[in-house]
Amino acid sequence: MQEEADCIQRVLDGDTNAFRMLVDHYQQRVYAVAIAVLKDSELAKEASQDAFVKAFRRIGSFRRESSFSTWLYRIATNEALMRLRKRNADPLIFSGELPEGHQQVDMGELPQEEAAKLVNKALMLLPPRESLALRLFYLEESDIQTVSAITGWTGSNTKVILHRARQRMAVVINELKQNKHV
Amino acid sequence: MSNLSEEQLRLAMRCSLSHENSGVIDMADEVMQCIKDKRNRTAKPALVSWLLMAVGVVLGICLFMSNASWLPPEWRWPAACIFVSVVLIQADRLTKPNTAAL
Repeated sequence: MQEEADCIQRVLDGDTNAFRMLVDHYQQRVYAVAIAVLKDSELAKEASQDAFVKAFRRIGSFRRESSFSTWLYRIATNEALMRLRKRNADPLIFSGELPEGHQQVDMGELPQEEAAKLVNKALMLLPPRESLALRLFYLEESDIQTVSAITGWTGSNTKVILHRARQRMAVVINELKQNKHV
Repeated sequence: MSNLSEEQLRLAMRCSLSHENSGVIDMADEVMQCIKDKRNRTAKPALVSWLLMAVGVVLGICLFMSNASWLPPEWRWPAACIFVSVVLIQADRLTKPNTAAL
């Protein structure tokens, strides 16, 4: 944490190369946010790169009111949503209904590595808003407030989206398991 | 009701971020190169805008000094001021980095 603050200060003092450490540290998570929205690896990579470049250019406006990660994820989310908007008229509205009833799913029997792959596949099949909510929620401290701060959704809206996302995730994972997609 | 258990989901989500699982490649070099390229690109408009500003100011002074018959004498000051202001505003706009286009 202190190392991160030092890095930010060095970037502010004009040391461009100090920014590399921040890129190294956050690139996977920023990419994960972007791909949760865009579902396309090339677009997600572009969005992540642009998010980092924007973060570098705007680092002077980082007020330390939130954590650096929250600030960076907000930029990454906006960058991904902007690209998604270019493809769809209204990217975060998903018309698909959840199936009736709730499904049980148990990943306990799966090795962690396989469970992770399954989760990644399922995230690709979830509507952007729900996969984004899940990704953001489990990135750091699993905190509704942080997700709200990044996305601009209200707290209750975030809770509803997360609830639906978990339900849909269970449905999708069950289908993937039945179809032996693991 | 049951969805995924919270703990299972948390673990799987964390693990899914790893290099092997997320498919992300190292982008640090590209990002740093991009930052340096953008920096060079924004330096050019600054130079162009300084030149434009200089030309504009000279033209403004010529306009003020000229005895052009099409410009009534009482309009010389306002015309020169408006001209120089427009040039300065344009130059200022050009010197600022265009973050929206990044």
